[in-house]
Parts: sequence; structure tokens; C-alpha cells
Amino acid sequence: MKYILKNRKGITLAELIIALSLVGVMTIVLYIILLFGNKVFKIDNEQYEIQEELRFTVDAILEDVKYAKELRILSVTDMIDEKASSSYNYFYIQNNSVYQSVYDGANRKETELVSDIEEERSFFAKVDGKQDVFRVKLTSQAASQNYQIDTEVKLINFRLIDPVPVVEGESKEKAIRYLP
Amino acid sequence: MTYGNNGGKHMENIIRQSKGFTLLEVILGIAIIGIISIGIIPILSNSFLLTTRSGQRSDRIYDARESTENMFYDNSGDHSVKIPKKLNFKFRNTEFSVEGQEIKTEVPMNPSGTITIKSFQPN
Repeated sequence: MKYILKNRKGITLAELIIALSLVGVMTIVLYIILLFGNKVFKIDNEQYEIQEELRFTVDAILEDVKYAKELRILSVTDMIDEKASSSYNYFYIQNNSVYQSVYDGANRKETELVSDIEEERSFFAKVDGKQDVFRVKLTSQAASQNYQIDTEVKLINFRLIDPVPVVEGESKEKAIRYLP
Repeated sequence: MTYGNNGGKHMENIIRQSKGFTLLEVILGIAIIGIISIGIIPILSNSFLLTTRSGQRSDRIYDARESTENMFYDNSGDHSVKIPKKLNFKFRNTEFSVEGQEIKTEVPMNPSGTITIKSFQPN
């Protein structure tokens, strides 16, 4: 130890270069790992967010539609035509978002439930051979991530009403109107 | 091997010697770095895997709910079975029982596990 402290010899240029290049190589490797971790964190956040929003939206739709007394599937253009002068509630897909429109007896309130919806792969539909079942399929896409929920719901109130009503309208469309 | 006794000859030898690493040593070194990074990468990507899996899980939950409802109304649930069951209730001194069926829905999860929903339908 005493010797090392008293040693007047320095480090040669060659040693310094080798040491620096080793440090450089290690730094590059660690930096790549850091970048990878960062990227995974980012896409994980995207995936989490679209899942959460889509789940929230589908739950909201199912909850409302399940207890509906009347349900009609219609196109967005038809919906816009009749919305102003009707007292129904609506869910509709427009401009890559899902909206809910609620009429409280005096005013109509529009709420955006989720954005980043991929319209080609999202719709409200009838289920073949079943009169009181409603199907909803929503696909969400943000940046590099996508998530899809496709489910059916029984319309409970339809059973209690006599004669049993049916789901009216087109077989596949981007809007529904219902009576809560 | 202390430096003091041999007048620093040992250190000098290390620096002066013209031997490099053998190919085998380099390969071993790279392999060790590789093994360590294989250990680190799953830690970084695990959260994404778990998020994806929770997404599949909620998907299966929707399936199970749908199947249970179908079974409840018209016995058409793909993943459900009906098992006769009797529920017993006791309120203070009054005891009564309800005959019915338990609707049990099991949806398999990928890669392992199942989503189970149990419901009761009185006769």
C-alpha cells in the first residue's frame, strides 16, 4: 500500500484508452437496457390505459342496456336526425369516440366515454336467432397498442313485458337508442 | 503477493506482459454478460406481460358473465353447468330452505388457471 502511494509512475496512454473503451462498452449496454425498460414502461401504460377506458365504457353500456325497456339499433345519421326531438337515451360511435346522450326530461346531456376507438371494428349488433340479446363489440387503438371487448347481454326487462319486445333496427350499426 | 517486497516487479510484469485475453476468455465473458442481461430483461418486460394477461382475464370474465346469463335464461351457456342445490336460511328461530340450481361457470385462462362464477337460480 505504501508502495502504491509513493509510486511516481502514471498510466500509459494505451491503458487509458483500453479502460475508457471498456467503460464505453458497458455504458452502451446499460443504456440500451435502460432504453428498453423505458419503452416497455411506455407501451405498458398505453395498454393499461386503453384497457381501463374500454372496460369502463363497456360496463357502462351493459349496465344501462341490461335494464332497458326498449332497444333499437340505428345508424349514426338516423340518430342525429331524430335526437333533437326525442326523449330516448343514446350510445353512439362517432369520430373514433363512444358517446352517451342522456335525456333527463328537460335537457340532453352528451358525455364522451372513450376516445381512440377504431370504428371499422366496433359496432352494436343483434344476435342471430335471439330476440332479447344484444351484442356490443368495441376495439380501442392507441399508438402501438390495441384491445378489444366483444360481449353479449341479456335484456332482462324484455322478459317481463308481454308480448316480449325484440331488438329493433339494423343488424349492425354504430348507434343505439334505448328507454331506461 | 505484496508489492513492497519485490520492488514493484509484479505490477510491472502485469503491465509489460504482452499476453492478451484468449478467445475462450472473451467468449466466456460475453456469455456471462448475456446470462446477466437475460436475467434483467424479464424484470423490465414483466409489467407489460401482466397487463396483457389482466386484459385477457377481463375478456374471460365477460365470457363467463355472458355464459352464466345465458344459462340462467335458456340453458344455453357454453361454459356453464347446472347443479341441483338447496340453500338453507336461518332468521332467529325460523328456518327455511330454497330448492334450486347452482349455475357454475368455468372459463379456462391462457396459459393457466380458470375464471369461476357461481350463481343460484331458485326453482
